[in-house]
Amino acid sequence: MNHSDEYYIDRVLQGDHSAYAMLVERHKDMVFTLACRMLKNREEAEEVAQDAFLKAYSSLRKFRKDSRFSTWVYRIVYNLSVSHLRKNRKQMHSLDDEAHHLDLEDTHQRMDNLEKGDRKKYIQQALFQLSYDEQTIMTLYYQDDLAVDEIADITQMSQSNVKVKLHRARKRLHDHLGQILQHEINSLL
Amino acid sequence: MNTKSRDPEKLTREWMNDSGMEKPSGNFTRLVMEKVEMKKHLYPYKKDNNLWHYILAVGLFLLYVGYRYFSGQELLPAGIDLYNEIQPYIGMLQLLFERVAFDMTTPIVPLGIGAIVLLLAFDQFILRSLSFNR
Repeated sequence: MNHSDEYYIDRVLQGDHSAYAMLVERHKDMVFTLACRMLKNREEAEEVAQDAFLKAYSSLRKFRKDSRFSTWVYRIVYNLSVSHLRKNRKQMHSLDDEAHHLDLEDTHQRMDNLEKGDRKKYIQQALFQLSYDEQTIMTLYYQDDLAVDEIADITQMSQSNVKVKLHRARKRLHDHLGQILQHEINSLL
Repeated sequence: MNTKSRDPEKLTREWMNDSGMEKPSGNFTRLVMEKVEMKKHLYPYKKDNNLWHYILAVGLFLLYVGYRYFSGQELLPAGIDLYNEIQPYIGMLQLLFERVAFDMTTPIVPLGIGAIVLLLAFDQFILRSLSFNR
């Protein structure tokens, strides 16, 4: 039976701890994807994602049901990932802030001609080069269909800042993709 | 993929969906739930509906009272003197309170209480604030 998140939260708060497994099962992929894209390391992402669910469990009584459970867990995993990055002093900005602006038409055309598997690989490579907050915003906006105000709530940025970053991240994704594809073509010639 | 329109917004959405979702290890949920098991004392177990237990307890008590009343017996079984039965317990409590009141006059108890308060305050205001990320 497919119950709402609120149903399982109520069950947990009534003492049925096993109901929490349903919430973990439902949201683990997105939480792990966010952690993975921010930390760029699967082992660390798995650890942070587990900690996020554990922290959400410990604070479940404080969860206000005026927002979605998923949004709340995303905020927790975002905060934990940021503090993990700070603690480990990893790069928190994009690998290449000076992406060359290539012809978008070329990039789009080349992407069309790729097999789905290759396309996925190159998109992931391009995403990897974005900064952690750009990746988070792109993932939440395009893959989880969250609204700008929800993303602002998760990342604790202003809505206008989210919009600017979203626009910039989209442009940079296209640029990085163009660079990657150009590099692939050059290596084949 | 149709990119004839060349709408960057639409293309980005398609590409992001093509990038897929990352999958955690197969035992991810089990590992989380193992950690949850260790924390579950936070939410003491409550049965969904224990109303029937109260109804049963009250029903049994009424049955007992009714049985003794209608069979013409005293409510308490013969030989039970309620005052004498509870007197030793009251005496013990009195002794305990007197002992605690006496101990409170020695410095060791206020010092102990002060130490506990200090530890609680340290945990509440320092350790917890350090463990929060934001």
